[in-house]
Amino acid sequence: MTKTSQVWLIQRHPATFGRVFEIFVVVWAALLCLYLPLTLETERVVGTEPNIFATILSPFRGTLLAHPMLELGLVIGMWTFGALWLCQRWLPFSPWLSAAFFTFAWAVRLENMGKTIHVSHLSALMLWILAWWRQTTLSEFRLAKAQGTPWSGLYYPEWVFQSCLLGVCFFYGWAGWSKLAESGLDWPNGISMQIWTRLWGNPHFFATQWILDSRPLAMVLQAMSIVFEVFAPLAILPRFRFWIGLGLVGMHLGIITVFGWGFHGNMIFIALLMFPIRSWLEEGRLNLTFFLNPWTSKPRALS
Amino acid sequence: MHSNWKSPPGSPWELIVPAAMLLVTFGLPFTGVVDCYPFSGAPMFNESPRTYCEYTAFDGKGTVLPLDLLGLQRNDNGNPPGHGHGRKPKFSIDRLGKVSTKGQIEAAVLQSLKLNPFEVHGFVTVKVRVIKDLDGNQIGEDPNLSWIQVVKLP
Repeated sequence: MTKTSQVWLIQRHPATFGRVFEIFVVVWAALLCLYLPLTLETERVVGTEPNIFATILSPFRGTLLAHPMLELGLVIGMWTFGALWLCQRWLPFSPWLSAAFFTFAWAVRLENMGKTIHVSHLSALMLWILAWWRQTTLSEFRLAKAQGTPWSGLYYPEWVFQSCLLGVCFFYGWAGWSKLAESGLDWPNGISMQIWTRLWGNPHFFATQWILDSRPLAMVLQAMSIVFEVFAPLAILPRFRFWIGLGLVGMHLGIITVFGWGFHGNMIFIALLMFPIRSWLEEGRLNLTFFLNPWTSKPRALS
Repeated sequence: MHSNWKSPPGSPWELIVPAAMLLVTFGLPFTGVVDCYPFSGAPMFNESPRTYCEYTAFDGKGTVLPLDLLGLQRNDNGNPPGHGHGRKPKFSIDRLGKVSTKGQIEAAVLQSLKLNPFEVHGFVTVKVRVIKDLDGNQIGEDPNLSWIQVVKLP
């Protein structure tokens, strides 16, 4: 086993960061599920031919998969088990079921759509990694809970942080590499940015007009986006992490404010993983005691 | 800070699930599969269009016609069509980066009206506005490339 993987396996950190990250992931996933019933009538395509393999549920296409009640049931399931997970109840089943219901709810939606969206992929990946974390450290969590330190006990392995970070790095790395593969170095030509902005930009936001009025600005924004995406995997290295994170968060702020697309969760994941939030929490420079105390149970005797 | 660390060290199997998830996330695009939710090669906006068309359609009485009944609606949402969705979108000739010919528009309108019976008075007038780079700084309608065409119904 390499030294790195030994460190990733053995090193345990105070769980505060992991628990805060977990809350953001589960709450965001629940909000993404809220999008599904709200768009049940408008986004589902009825009566067109099946497309190529699109989700892990594609082999099971049939009448049941097309039934809207299935999607609603999965959403309600995600909310239920997500709430149990947040309350630290029925572990480790609630995390597993929450991840499964979320993944299948969105898979069912995508199976019934005539176009795709990419807002839920990263959330699904994070949910599965976090569910596995709660599975593998269940006894350590129970010990910390019994000792009265469910938020700060040493049951957050390094591999959880590194796996979530790698997931973000690969996702955004591919976003950049696929642009290079498809359009080459001409991708940041500024014209395409102006076309997307004209089509989908918020006409009431000042930056929308700036982009439409200035090709150089459009080119710079586009070039910065592809640079940060292509080099996103460098965030694995601590020395580049903050700067890559800053660039990707800036890109998402632009996407959210100009286009209004739902990448808020991805932006928060990037900020939490790539900004030094974890070290601030561990070094006590960021103190969440005031917020976390109401949910901290009193210590009880070890049995 | 870790002086009171008492948790037992993890075993290698702790890495199985994240390793598998990350391997598929990273490796899937190498297999040629662009999207298989929850895994994705993240192809959003990987095309870089330099032009597109804006369509408006009327019937003989000047009533605005829904574009999706004429095969002229926009299916594009920034993601390359064809990947990551289980149903094929409703037929359309509109595509970012492409300017359709008059023949393609006429064929699309006639074929779509045949498939979607819809009350159309007399004929269909399609106004095609071609949007592209105008002056090296802005995009807009190029009046020299835009046109209005009348599709006579059988």
